[in-house]
Amino acid sequence: MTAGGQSTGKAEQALRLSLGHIRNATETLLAADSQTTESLLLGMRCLDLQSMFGEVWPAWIPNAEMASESLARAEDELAAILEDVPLAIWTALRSLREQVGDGQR
Amino acid sequence: MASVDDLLGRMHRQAAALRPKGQEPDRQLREHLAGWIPLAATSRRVLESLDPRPGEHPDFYAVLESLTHRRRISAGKPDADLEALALTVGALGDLLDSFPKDLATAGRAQRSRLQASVQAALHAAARSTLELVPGNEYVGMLVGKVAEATELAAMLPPRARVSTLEVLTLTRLTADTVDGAVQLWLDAAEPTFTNYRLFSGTALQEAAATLSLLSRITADVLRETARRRIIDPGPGREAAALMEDTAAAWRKASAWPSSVQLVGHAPDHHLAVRSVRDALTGPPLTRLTLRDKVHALQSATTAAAVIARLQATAVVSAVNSGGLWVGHERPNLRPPGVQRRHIKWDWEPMPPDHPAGVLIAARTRQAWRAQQAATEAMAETLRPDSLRGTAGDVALVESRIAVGRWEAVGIASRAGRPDDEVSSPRVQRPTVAR
Repeated sequence: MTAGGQSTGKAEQALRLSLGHIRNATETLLAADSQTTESLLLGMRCLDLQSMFGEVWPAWIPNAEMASESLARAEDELAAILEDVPLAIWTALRSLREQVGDGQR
Repeated sequence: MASVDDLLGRMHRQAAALRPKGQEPDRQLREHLAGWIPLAATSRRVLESLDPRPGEHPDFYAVLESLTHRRRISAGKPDADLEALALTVGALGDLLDSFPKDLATAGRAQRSRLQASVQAALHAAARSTLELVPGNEYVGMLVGKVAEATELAAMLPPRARVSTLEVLTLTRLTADTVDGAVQLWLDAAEPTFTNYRLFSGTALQEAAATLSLLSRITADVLRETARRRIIDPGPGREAAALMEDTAAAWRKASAWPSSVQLVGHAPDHHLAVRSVRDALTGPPLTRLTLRDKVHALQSATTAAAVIARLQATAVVSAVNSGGLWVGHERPNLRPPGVQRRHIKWDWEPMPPDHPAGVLIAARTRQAWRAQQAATEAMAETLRPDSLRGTAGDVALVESRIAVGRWEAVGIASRAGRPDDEVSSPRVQRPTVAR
């Protein structure tokens, strides 16, 4: 039993993991050393994405990656359960991944 | 968005630009008199609403009232310039009507100053009409009385007419404007951040990040307005630096470690912050002139200061009450003799003294303090008497009015030349970037 409730199926687990990776990307972008407006806006878009998950309980995944890597992992998680993923989340994540370059730490 | 300051600036420019057009004086006079009908009506409304004791000036208001009833004489099309001036005065009246409490608490001095500002413009309009009146006609006499009653106000130095009421600003409650979007955000933030069942970690981070964005953009605009001397450069640069510090502080406060969370869903708040972000980064802000930008952002920052307080209170309350969750490692132990294969990551309630929570709360408090200092500095910088551009405009208009009057009284040979002053390039050149 986790703090968020019962462990459920594969789709829910993938959503939780994906959200966990997106939260890592958010932290990386908002805490970026560069403190540019660009990274701030990208961080805010990550927060938008987090909001789209509603009350999904995120998985906690220690954050040791670049934002682009975290988002790639989030996408991989969702790709495995694509038919269960709300289209809005999928397209928003794809769009964000394209904007967050490898340079975004 | 419209402020009293904006409308006064427009009103003075319109009044200063009034002058005979050189042809068909009879027709012009008829048009002017028709123009006085709305101008006298709107002016009376504004001046009476500002007058602490309207009963002490019954003659003046009676004259204005009489001018509104000159339909028989002035049937026909009103003078377009005078009509436009009446429209501005009317808008000023509408705006002031929206702030009855501010007017009531402003004090006699501030209201009288604003009254003098309106009277000065009225004086310029009256003198412009008087130049068209050939003799001692009744209407000419009425307009003459207006000129007489408002002469003193026109002669006051511009700074003596500056009122704290000039900062009153009407915000359109729509996401199409920056200040409107922030006002709508405030409406959404209030119920969200005062109910622990509604706010989430994401909403708190969104609020902090949006405050950071707003502060950063405001800092840039303040710096630019100071550089162009639209505002007092020294205090303007100081306010910009404080606003930049605020942006950095909110940025830090928004960057929660991913190992800390507060699950929840606040859709109304989310939509509101998105609107604010769109307004700050899109046409609602970019289409404005620099001067309008600074006014819109001041209004937005004032509302945002309230959101900042709500956000900070909510964060500190969540940390102190142990309402957050923190990630931790849970060894996935196997029976004796079997190697531990992996570590499980999980969440647990965060105790109030957890270092991560203490850090989040400290950063938020710091950002809130920075916000307070920056908001106060900005308000101080944008106080009407430090708006150099406006003061310059008023000064030019005032010069024209006062110079015309002084010359008429003292130097008979130049009595008819006030317009020479207005038509000089120096006077016509706008000093305010709008």
